[in-house]
Amino acid sequence: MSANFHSNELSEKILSQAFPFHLVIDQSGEILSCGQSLARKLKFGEADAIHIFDHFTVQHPSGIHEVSQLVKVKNKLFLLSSKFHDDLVLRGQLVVSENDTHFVFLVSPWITNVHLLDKLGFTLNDFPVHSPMSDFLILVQAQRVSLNDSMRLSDELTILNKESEDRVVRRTQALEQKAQELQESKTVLEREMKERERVEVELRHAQKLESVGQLAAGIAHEINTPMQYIGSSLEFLKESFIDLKELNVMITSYLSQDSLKQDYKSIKLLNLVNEVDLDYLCARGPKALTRSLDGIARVTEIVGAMNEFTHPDKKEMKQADINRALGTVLTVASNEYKYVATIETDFHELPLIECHLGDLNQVFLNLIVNAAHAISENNVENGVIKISTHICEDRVVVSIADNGTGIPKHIQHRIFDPFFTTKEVGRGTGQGLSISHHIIAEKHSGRLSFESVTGEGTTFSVALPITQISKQDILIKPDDGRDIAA
Amino acid sequence: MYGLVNKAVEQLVKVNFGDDKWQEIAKKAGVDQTFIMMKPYPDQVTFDLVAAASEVLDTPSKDILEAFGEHWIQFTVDEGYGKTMSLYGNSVLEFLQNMDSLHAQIRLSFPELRPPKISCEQNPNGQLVVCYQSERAGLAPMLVGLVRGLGKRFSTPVELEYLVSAEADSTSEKFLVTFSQRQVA
Repeated sequence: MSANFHSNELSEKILSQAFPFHLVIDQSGEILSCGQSLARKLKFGEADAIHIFDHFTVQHPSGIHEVSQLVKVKNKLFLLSSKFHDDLVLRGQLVVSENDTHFVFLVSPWITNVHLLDKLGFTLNDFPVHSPMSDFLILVQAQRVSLNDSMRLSDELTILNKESEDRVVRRTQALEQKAQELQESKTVLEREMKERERVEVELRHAQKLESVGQLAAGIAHEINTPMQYIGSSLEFLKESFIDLKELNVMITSYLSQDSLKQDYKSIKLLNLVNEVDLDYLCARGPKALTRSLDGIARVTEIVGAMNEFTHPDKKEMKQADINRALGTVLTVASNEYKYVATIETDFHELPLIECHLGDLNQVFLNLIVNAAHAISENNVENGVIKISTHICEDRVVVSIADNGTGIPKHIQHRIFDPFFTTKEVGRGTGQGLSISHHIIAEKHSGRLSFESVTGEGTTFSVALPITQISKQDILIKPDDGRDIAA
Repeated sequence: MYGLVNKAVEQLVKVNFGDDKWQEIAKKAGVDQTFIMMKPYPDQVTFDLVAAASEVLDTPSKDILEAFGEHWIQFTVDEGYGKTMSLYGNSVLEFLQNMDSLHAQIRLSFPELRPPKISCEQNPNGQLVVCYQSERAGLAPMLVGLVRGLGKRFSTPVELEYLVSAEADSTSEKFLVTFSQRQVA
């Protein structure tokens, strides 16, 4: 180092270059020198007499308001804030000359971010090369980049998290929907299986009925023939009794002659007439034959009804008389009700309706037999099954009412379910009402309904359209508002 | 290289070709992460990205690197380094001459930085002769783009010419930079 160098050789120019924000004041506080960058900012002219405390406040150390106080805090950290420029704070060190004549503030703007640099109107070029300001700003910027990066990553994470949550929600919803669809499919499948089971049962039932029908038709034919000649023979015998009666009168009259009273042969014949009680035979025989003929007529009627009832249905509907059909069913089913109920009919005149008569016979038979069973279970002495028919608008309505047990409310919604029955084992299959409902609602576009009061009885109503509407018509007019189905 | 570089590659692709292309490139390069700007990554990650971009975009790697170099200038300004850059020159020549100093100062924040050495001289014709030397091979085209980016930044259109024929695995190159309008140093 040069021994000739002295601090007072540091020219104002070098001081200004090395510390472009410095301030030099004298003991009065007047600013003697100012760094070039600070002078540009504060617009100090060389001729101006400027006092340090007119322009600056000492923020640190606190309590400095006079130049005389500066001596005590030399070489301390100083913060000078400008009174005229917001945000301009000079930070640095106070150096005091020998004899305390001059005070040098080696300071520079206290910059905490790049934007403040802009705001104060400085550039990095205003700072000396040795200043750590540019390094500081690079570090600040690096910190800002890191912070922005962290915020960006945090945002991405938030979005990803939200997307994940949304994905989970969507996936859960999709799974729930699939589960619901699966449940619906299961329900449909169960319904279809039940329907298939019902159809199979119905088919078996129909096949059995058809066989029984064929058998019954055969038996009816076989019974009818002997019944005819039994009837003819009985008629013959009945007519023969008239002759026999006349003959008896004549024989009795003849043998009562006095001339024949001692005649051995006459006496023997009279004894024989008395012995066979020909009078009694003539009096009772025709009556017995009349009863037999009535019996034969009843058998013929039942066999005829059975023949009609079991007559196999065709695929196509045919016009039929519902009143007559009910009469036939009552004949066939008489054994089911005659011991528990009397039948009251109130048949109004009806037009012929298009129907599968065999199916309707089965429905009416089911309802009448059910009514008889309900009355039987109710243990009423005066059981009554009232059967009535009438026309309601474009429908024929059949009502079958009984004073039986009634249907409890809690099972009313199930009575048309397949295999549902309250009857004891062997008495009911649980198919009757289910099949009946199918026949009325599905096959005839009708309606099978009921009203029931427990302990008082039940009334079933069958409403059947007089004329069937084709499926095509239904498809063409789906919204015509008519109640064409059950 | 730092994540800042890989992020710049990502942004270049996304801005010019869309997110889908970037996803395709990243997948091909085996990149399944978000880059952290201040974190150093193996150089191979960047090389793989450039190779994948070249394949997906059907563009030579050299062109990709040049485009990246040009994009890099604006990217660093956008990321807040504009003030620092302005400290190192107000012209292409000044900036190229001070680039080593800039890198030296930047190392304060990026201690694992391994920047290339760049020197620059102006010939009597006003053209610049730029010498580039890197410990990494094949990145010279990036400097070409970078000089073009500087030309844009300082509103001085430039043309570049390889003084030594560029080779794919070259670690040093020399370029001649011609200004469309005479550059005042």
